Amino acid sequence: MYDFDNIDPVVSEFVDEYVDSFITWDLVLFFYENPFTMGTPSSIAMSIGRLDSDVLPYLEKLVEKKVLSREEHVQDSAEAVYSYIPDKDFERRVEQFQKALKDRASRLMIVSKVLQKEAKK
Amino acid sequence: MLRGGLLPGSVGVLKGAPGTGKTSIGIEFVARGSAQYGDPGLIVTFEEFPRQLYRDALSIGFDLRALEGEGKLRTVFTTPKVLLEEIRRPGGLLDRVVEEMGVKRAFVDSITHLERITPDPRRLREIIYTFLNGLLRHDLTALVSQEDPFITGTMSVAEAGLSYIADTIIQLRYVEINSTMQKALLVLKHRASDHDKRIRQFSIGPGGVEVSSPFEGREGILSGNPREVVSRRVEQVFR
Repeated sequence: MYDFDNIDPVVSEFVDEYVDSFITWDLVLFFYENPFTMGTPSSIAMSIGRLDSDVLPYLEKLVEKKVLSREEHVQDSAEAVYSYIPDKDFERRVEQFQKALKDRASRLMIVSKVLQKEAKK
Repeated sequence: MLRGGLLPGSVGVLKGAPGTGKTSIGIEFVARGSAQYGDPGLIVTFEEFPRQLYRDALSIGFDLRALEGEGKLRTVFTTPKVLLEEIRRPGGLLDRVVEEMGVKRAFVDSITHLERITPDPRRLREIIYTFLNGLLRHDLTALVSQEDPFITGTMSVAEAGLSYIADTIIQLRYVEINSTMQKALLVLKHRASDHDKRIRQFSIGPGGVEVSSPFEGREGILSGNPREVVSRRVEQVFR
């Protein structure tokens, strides 16, 4: 087992609070790296190489957490449009999360943590 | 070459095959305007992720993320359908960004992706017309890219009626000379201007796009496989 106490506490708290799945992981990094994205679930799913149906519930969770906004105005489509609306603190935490992922040991600990969360569902 | 640049409040089209430099020229147009001339800019990308554009822009000397941080530029990643709706909608993305930032220059990469909305050429033409007029409504100067399907050889005027709507059409081509691919740039159309009609070489490097001398002593440049002009070769034989 990994010693989660060795993860940067800011990163650990961030994972606890936001990263409950690998799809959320992908979404958080995708929006951080492409901050002015305005996408539908299908276009966002394509952008991160996932299925629309898998991505939608996690987009909604990020809307609940006020990381994304949702607008429904595409006339010819039932799809909503999601945009990134993070506050400065969230941005700073994603930056640290991204930095932690570059370190192999931290990355493995984060992967293990997310796997445990996925297993509990 | 344009004898004074793009016409303010107009739309120009950058045409070329993949890799000819459409995106780099478009990025430089917006980023240089933003960094050097105080013209806030908007880049809209449909396929390349902004993070790729940030990286590519750095390689030609422009830090888009820093400009975004200063509120001078925005790189929006979206779908053609969403953007079209946003342009049409009062208070939509374009209205908001133009009001918030006072956008003066825009680059849309690429208008070819509007074909994803409909396969019907007539409907596509209407969509492109609406799209470009939506940009012009804000009195900004816009460049849009359009992909040529062929690397060399066959060349067409801008498709889907773009040639009528656009005030400027710039054609980028690959040219094979002595077994090396070079890049050529030609202003096909520039309304109300006595623009440079010569086909010039250009390159893209750390300082951005550099347009250099015309291709001299060769003909058939736009075919992609130019020939040396015969009279010159004859002169060389008798020299």
